[in-house]
Amino acid sequence: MRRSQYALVAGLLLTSILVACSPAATPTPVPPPPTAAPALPTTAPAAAPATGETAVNWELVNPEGIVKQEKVEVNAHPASLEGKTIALRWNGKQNGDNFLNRLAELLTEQVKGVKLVKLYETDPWMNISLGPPYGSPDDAIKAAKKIKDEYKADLVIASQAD
Amino acid sequence: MVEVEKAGIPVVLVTTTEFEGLAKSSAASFGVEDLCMVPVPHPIGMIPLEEVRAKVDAAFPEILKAATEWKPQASGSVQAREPYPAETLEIQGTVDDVVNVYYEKGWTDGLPIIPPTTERVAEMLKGTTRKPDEIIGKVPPRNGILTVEVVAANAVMAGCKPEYMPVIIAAWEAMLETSHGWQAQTTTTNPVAPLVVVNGPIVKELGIQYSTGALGGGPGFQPNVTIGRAVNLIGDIVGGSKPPEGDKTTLGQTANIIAMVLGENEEANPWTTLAEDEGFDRNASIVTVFGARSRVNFNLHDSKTGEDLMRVFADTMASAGMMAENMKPCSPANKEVLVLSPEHVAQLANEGWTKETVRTFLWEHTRVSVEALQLRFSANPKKVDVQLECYEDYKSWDGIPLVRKPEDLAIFVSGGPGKHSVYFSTNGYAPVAKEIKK
Repeated sequence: MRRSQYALVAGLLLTSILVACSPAATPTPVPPPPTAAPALPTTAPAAAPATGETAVNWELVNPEGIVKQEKVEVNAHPASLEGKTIALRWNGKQNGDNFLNRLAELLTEQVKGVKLVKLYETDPWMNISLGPPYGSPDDAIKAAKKIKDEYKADLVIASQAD
Repeated sequence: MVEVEKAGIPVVLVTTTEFEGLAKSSAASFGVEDLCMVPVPHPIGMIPLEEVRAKVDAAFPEILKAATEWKPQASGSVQAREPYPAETLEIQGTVDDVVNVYYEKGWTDGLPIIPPTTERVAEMLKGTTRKPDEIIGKVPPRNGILTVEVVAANAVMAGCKPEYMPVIIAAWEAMLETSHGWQAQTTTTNPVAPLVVVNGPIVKELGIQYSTGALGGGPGFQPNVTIGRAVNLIGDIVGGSKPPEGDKTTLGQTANIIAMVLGENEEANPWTTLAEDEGFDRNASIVTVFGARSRVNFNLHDSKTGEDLMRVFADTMASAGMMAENMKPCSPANKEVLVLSPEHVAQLANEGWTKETVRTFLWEHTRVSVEALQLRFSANPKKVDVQLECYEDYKSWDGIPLVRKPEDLAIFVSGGPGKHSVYFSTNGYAPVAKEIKK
């Protein structure tokens, strides 16, 4: 844009600002009130009270839905790990196996007679999320049964790495 | 781990600090309100081995203590109320006050809601013949009980018309099928959002958009947008799946606010419709729900032949679906989604391609080499091995295909004029189709 063009644009801007800020030469006519309220958009259900700015009493529905869940009692932990069998379960997330490997080293070093079952080595099928989409809905039950009946674990330590 | 506790074996769950809340709420949703957990500083994944070992060393005393001294502390929070009728609350104030109360209670997606007055909810219930006390299911991870009345309350909040109720109900019936895996889909770090496809006469009856900008918005898009919002509100409020707890999506996507709802452009589809592929009659009104993750737009204006078009589809889908996303061979119900634009499908059909030949071509050409996958999982090669074992005969194939078999490509037509087809990578769970019953 040339300098003369800048001057022209600036001039037009100034003029429009001055016009906008000046009192109107003739007052703008006030439109007559509508004879009937304009139709409301159909978005809201008909029962909507048009009281956006007025405090009124509202009776509202809690949209949360209640929670009713049968409680599963958790099991008592052993008083000592000595001589106990501990199953180590990895969820397949990267480094979770490394985490459990180090844990196994420490347990072996520090807990007398502890037996460890690395499920991620004995049962790699347990290394991914159990159940759909990777397996059938009863995979978790199958895994729990194996940990109990076959490995006779006293405790499971699971790494939920992420 | 819940099943392990149920089997009588105590559990110590080591989780990272970022995921402790989700682990707790997830266990609680299965009734284990007080699972023993030891949080360690996030992350564990993708850090050097020495750091992992150091984190174990630091946490070891706590893990030992948890293993031998931990006692349950939860007092139990079983609610005595019945699912129906829903609790009501009285507020004196303006619309803004109501909206703010709902914000404060977490009963919103972040946008203002339309107050669900008892009158409005009653009006909304007129859109369905289902009884208000009928239970659709429990919505994870919170496992809130979803009654038809609660659907109506959320539909009011989303701005729906009563006649949209059957679509919302059918969508949630689909999402709560076990095979759809909503618990995992809504809590994952992946940006999963519902993709809700509607087929049949109800598309035109309700004015669900299926042509230009079907996934867009505007004055004519009320059904798509408000049904989508209601679907997500139910997940957020009844399911309690809201970031940062519950929904752990790393970045998320806007379809986590308003689920993607669109009709199939059946007039432009020379082949069977999506609902027909799912085994339904063409004249039935059907909703099909996918758990959608990535979305790739094929901006293809210059393909000489249909095969040229499909080669681009295949290369891109293989790369996006298996390298950026991940392969899902161990997910037998998984289907990947290709939404063909009317002009692209016309080009294919005019050259004699059928849906079956398109699927077979794409199955044969959406391949990634085992070496490439090993590179993708370089820090976790065992994962590749486990996944490949899910194929019976992958060693004889030229690369690993995006889906297990050609039929696992869900193909339908939507959108208006223009040359843009779309690929949606899904989350590995089954898409579920349900008949929309008024």
